[in-house]
Amino acid sequence: MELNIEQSDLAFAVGRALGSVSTRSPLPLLSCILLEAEKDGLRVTGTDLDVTTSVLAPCEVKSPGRAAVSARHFHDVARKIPRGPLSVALKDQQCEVRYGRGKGWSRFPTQDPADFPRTPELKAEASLKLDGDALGRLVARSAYAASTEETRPQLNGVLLQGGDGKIAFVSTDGHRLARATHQGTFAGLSKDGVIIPSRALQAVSRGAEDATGPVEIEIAAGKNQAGFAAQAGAYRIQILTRLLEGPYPNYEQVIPRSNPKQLKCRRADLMEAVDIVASHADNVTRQVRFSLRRGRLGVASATELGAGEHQIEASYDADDMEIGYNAGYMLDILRSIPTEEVAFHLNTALSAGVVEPVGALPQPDEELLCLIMPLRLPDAVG
Amino acid sequence: MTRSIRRLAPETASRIAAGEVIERPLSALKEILENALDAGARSIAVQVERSLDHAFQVADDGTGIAAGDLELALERHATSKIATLEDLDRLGSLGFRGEALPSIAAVSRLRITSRRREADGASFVLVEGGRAVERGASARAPGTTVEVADLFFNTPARRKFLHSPAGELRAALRLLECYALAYPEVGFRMTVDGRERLSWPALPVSGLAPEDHGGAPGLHDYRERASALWGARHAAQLLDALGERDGMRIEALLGLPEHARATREGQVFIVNRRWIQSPPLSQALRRAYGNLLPGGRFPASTLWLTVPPARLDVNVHPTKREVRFADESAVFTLVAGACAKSLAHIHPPLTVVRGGAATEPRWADRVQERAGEQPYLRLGSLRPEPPGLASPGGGPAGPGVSSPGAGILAGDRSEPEAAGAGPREPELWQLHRTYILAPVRGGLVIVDQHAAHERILYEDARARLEGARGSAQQLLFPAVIDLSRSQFDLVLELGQWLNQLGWDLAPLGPPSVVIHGVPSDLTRENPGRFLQDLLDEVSESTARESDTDVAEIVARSYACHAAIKAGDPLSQPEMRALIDRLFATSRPHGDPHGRVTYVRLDLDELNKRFGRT
Repeated sequence: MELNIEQSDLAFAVGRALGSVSTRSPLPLLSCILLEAEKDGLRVTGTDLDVTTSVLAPCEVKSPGRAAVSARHFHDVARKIPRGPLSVALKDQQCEVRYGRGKGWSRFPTQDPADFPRTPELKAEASLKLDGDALGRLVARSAYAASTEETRPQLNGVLLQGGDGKIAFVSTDGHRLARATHQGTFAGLSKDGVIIPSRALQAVSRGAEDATGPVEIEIAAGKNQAGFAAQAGAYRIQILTRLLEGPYPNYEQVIPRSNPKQLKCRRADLMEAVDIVASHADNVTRQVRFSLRRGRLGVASATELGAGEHQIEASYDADDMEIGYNAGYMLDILRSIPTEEVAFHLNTALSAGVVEPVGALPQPDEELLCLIMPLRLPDAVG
Repeated sequence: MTRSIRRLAPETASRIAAGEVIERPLSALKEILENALDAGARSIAVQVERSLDHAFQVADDGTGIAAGDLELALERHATSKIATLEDLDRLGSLGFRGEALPSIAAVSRLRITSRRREADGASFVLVEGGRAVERGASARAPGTTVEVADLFFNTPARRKFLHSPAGELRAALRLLECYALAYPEVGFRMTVDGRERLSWPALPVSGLAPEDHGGAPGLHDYRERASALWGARHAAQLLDALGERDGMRIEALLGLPEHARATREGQVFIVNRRWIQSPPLSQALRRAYGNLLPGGRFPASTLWLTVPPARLDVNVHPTKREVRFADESAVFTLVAGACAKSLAHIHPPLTVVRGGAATEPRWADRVQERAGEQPYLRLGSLRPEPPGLASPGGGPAGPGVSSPGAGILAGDRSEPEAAGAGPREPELWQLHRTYILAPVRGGLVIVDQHAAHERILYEDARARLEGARGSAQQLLFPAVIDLSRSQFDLVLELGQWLNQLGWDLAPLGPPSVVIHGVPSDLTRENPGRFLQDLLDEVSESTARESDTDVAEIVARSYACHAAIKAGDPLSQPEMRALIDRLFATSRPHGDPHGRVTYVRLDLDELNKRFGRT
């Protein structure tokens, strides 16, 4: 293997591949990245067996070949090397990088690339395209609500769902739920959808930010795999992930359609109130109390750490109501909403509340809906 | 061959009888020591030459023995301590049988030198194997000196079964320690081959004791003495316990759970100023510690019990090491009750800064030596924190809630903790995902994460069960779970308890239950499985334990199942919250089952190991 490549190209490719390298793997080879000199360039791949990231960067290949080097070590050097052309070559089982026109060199021990996990072939049953920006937004508006609890693995990811002329990204941990949609025809994606692990989406959303063209999403539900590919300038980024096994809970039926009590307020006001008051809240439950009164909303918390209350203006004209929320959940939701005002649709102090943006989102073809389950306050009846 | 029955020669009989009382060299020392104490000595000096069986002497400044009584004292059943059997019911002395001196005299070379306060001079008598061989006048300050040499010289068989001299000497030191605890007003000194092994000056007895207690020493004096014996630092950590009932009185210095030992060596029982061994007292003490200690650990504590002599039989054992209480169960309740009461207010020993303030400072304050200024107001350190609820102001996530979603897109969201970061708190380390290492002033504390969390949750659960109902996180997808018939019945039975804990359950009808809400600190678990585990544990415990405090069992089971396990990775804020909350609980030393939650490693100890002293 021998090739010439720009430092910035190498550093980018290695950095992205590193994102999928597992930090603590029993398999030493999984802490490596695979360098492959092919005819179209240098392919750098990192994997933890669940998620695989591979980046194809332009370079001048003198002789093709493969080498596996320690991901962190190689990345550390690759990003520090001065900008400019450099050469990568495999010599005596060592990977040698020469840079700065003879200014310096680094050598890395290699592992047998034949043992490196083979990137599976993705035989797509369905494929669709989504603009990079839109994909990034959809992930940002949904993924935070996914569960991290291991006992319900199907909730450790985001449901990608088609149908009704739009694509929906849905996630929930059973306490709150977020659904972000984007209009368009996504024929390949069924109403049942597929569940993408949160960890993969993390890499995907990073890739989507870089993408200069649409992101191609390929799904092989039968083989439990999905792939995301995008062109980012001169690089081609591919992320391959295994899917989470469903079934995803039937979330549609828990979205209340006719909650009678409406509350509207400025999002920034509410975020400020919750943020301040939550400083006093219990560390674990993060419980804050919402006191809904005509024309205003009080947010309060009292523990032995201290107590606080913050009143904001709100449009509300139903009966007085006390309702408890986890401040962390509430802030997550408020952060994800891009509009100036938010609306709450509530029923009782124990039932699910809907939180929605007021007015159109900056992108008129998109929608956002959040659900949050209250905390039963100790003094609540029932 | 037939043998006819003969009367034993007096010296043979007395040697055999002596074996009952003087079974080992230590017994001789004990008897003579008790005589000195009975004689009202204020200062006792013990000198040992080579070993106890070789030669030792005990010198006191007590009342002394009149010259004419010296030989009488060596006769069996001659004593000044009691006159009639009834006197036993008013017994104020340690001895009463009049057996000790003759017994020792029968098996050794014994010399008694004594002078009564009012006498002009001292006199002595020297006895060998029970026969007086020399007597005469001598010079001595008022008091008595008893010298014992060549113990068991005339009973070679006994000599062969003696403990090692070093072992006897250790036992002698312990004996003196125990009597020093019983008699703080007496000074004790012991030298071995001319080298001083211990010296505890007599304490001026405070007389703070209540009237009915006479001029006898009280807890204050005992604490002083303990401090002389074991060092001020250790003594300061002992807890007072005090109780009185039906004329009986208990005073105790209780060791912290972390000082517990694997044997009963750390326990000293003193009844009417007599050092005894007593399984019932030991059990009562263990009961008082309850779940503060795991099985197989014994509290290190000293108990002083005062019982009316009429209700105590001290004459049940030749060496008087055991006593019998007329009303054992009353004693048991008194001891267990008084000690438990004191332990209920147990104070964390992490008093690296135990200055003035009535409250334990927050963890961070304790750990960090701040230079002068206090950057922000901490309400927590201004008033006592109710147990089990305190948490730090720092990180947003405690154990149980790992700010959900933090793993995702962490880059594009500003974490509230970063924004509100106060002064840097000390680093904590997680060791093998099981232990948390936390530097404290003067050392290191190693916390078992599971046990610690269990203690926190247990107290939380208790608080909720006792009234402060917990908040419940309502579920978006109510979980329907199928229980066994007995589990279902248990849900109905425990309904109120579970509700208090924060469960929101709706029984559908056997065997299904709908879970609408879960205790709000329970977000990592699968609620259905958790509920079933909880029910199983409760039903098992109620079947096993006779005195069923259902709330206790529910709280314990809840804590056990909800706690993070060994192997769970913890973030910095989670560790900090865990440690802060642990030390805000009322009994941070042990989990509800009595397992230790943390151990402390002193810097002194480390310095010693690295030879930095």
